[in-house]
Amino acid sequence: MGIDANAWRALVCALALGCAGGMAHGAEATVEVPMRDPWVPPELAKKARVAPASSGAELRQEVDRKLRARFDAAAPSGTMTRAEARAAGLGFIDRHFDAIDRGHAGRVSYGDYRRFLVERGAALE
Amino acid sequence: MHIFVPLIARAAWLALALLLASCGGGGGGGASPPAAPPPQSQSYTDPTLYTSGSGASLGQPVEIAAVTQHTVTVGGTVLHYTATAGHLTALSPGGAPEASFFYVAYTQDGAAPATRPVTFFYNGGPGSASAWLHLGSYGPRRLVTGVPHIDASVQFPLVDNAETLLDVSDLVFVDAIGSGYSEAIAPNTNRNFWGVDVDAAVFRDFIVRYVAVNQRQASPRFLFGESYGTTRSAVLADLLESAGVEVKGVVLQSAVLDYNSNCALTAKVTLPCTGFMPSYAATAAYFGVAPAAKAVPVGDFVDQARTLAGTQYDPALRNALSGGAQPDAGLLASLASFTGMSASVWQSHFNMVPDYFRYNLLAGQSLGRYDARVAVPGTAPPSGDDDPSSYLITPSFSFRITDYLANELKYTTPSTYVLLSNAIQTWNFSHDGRALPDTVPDLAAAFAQNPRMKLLVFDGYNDLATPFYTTERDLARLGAGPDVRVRSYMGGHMLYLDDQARPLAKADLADFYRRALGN
Repeated sequence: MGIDANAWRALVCALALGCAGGMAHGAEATVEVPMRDPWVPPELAKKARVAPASSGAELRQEVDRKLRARFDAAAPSGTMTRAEARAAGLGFIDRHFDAIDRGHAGRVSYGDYRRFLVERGAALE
Repeated sequence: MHIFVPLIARAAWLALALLLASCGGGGGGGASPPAAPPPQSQSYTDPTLYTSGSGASLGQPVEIAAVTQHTVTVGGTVLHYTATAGHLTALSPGGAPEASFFYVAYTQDGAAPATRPVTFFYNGGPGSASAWLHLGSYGPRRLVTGVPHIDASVQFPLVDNAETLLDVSDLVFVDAIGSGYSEAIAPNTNRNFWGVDVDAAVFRDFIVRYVAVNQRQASPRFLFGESYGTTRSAVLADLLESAGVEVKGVVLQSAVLDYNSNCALTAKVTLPCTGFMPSYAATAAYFGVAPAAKAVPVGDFVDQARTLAGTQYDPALRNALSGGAQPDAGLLASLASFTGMSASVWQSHFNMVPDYFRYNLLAGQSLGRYDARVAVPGTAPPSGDDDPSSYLITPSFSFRITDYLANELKYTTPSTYVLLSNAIQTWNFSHDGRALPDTVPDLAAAFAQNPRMKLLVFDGYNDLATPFYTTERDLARLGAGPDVRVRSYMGGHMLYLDDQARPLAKADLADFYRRALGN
């Protein structure tokens, strides 16, 4: 369970404190870079363009676009069946398919899905 | 002693994935399965050599775990629990093995899985293992750090944790790919999972797998991430909801939801550092060098600092940054009185970055980044880690995690437990069209799919990495609809290390779970 005092000092020196003088090699250092969380590598930080923050109606529209993009990626024709939703990993649509498919068409559109979300309280409008 | 579970063949993986898909991971419905007796204890010596390099991958993942039984006393009640330490394979939605996650699960013996919540914990970085939350926060055992008065000359004692969350929820601590003992499975390499989107997706796949293997489909599910782990949680909550895996609640510890709102994350400081000013004030108050804090309760003082930051400092700073008028003397005097930095210093450093504050508040001393209450002699940044609140605790966490896994949880391996990988150097930070992630829209998307989801946010007043006022401003973007609660205390980034803050935060957590579960 324990570690002797000398080995402990060596480990502390190795990991963090940069102690002067020789250091025992017996201690196993497991930290490769300093912990700095969050952090962005300097090269990226230098060139990254800072993006403006959305809120209010702009944020709601962004969420709408995000959900629509995910839906459209799985439904190139604009609608999907329950099996297609399941195959695309869209378990939410699969679970709620019957409620989303109000017209019992066997296929749902993004509009159907969106209406279902709004009826449940989603702030998309 | 060792019970070897056979490797799951690819066909079985596919079958499992299909079964999962048909279950949909949804909560509720059906009779509760009876509580199972605790599994038999077994130690496990894992011969696999796990590595953290960007190009590393495993050929043959194993899914064997060490299982041990323990007790911990919470509020006078003895809890019997099982610790399971080992690996589980995350499968892509198509059923392909992606990565082998190392995890430690603590499950209360005798509890009914259908109603017993399960909470997934992970740290951030990106590239950090979960050892900080695992041994520092609400697990059944914790390290006594003494923060902010840290004695690094001795190993921190590992003790039973009276504030463990195990009385409320089962707990699963999981390491990101390339950290801890988690590694990609060929043909993937670790680097395949080093990006905002791919990381969140593989965490989703781990959670789906954990839920399926452990038959926790009906268990209420919670996420608990810290720092970059909160960035992950926002993206992950949206992905889980989309996958039909309902999330009851998300706990954000020291959040960084929008990398574009934190002035310390961009090399060329063009962003206003408004969000840091109240943290400077709280830290100056702690050291007794803020005249405005005299004879004012800290909560009230912090409120006043928020007001000063929002109504006076922020507009003046934006004006100055866009080439407008310089700040007036009255504002500079107020800033000096709140932060302990002189008016002349504020005049020359009006957009004050946290590193400047850390090295200039106290003569001859420098302050921590994670916890600015940790002061050490010297004002010249050393090479390597310059944060005493980090480097003074790292050795004990680094040593104790492997010691604890081997000696108490009976999981041993020839591998090195990687506390922090180099993932951050090559991490793909781009997300939804932005070079640096803004995950407020992800949280909003999760709420759109699950308006009943609840969010609890913990901040430390003295955290100069993810300042509380920045987080509050980011969260305000969500509007009044979502159920969001913020709790802030004197303390650092790892607020839970503080002996005063941790019991208060535990009480907040218990209340949060009660509300989320509708009790």
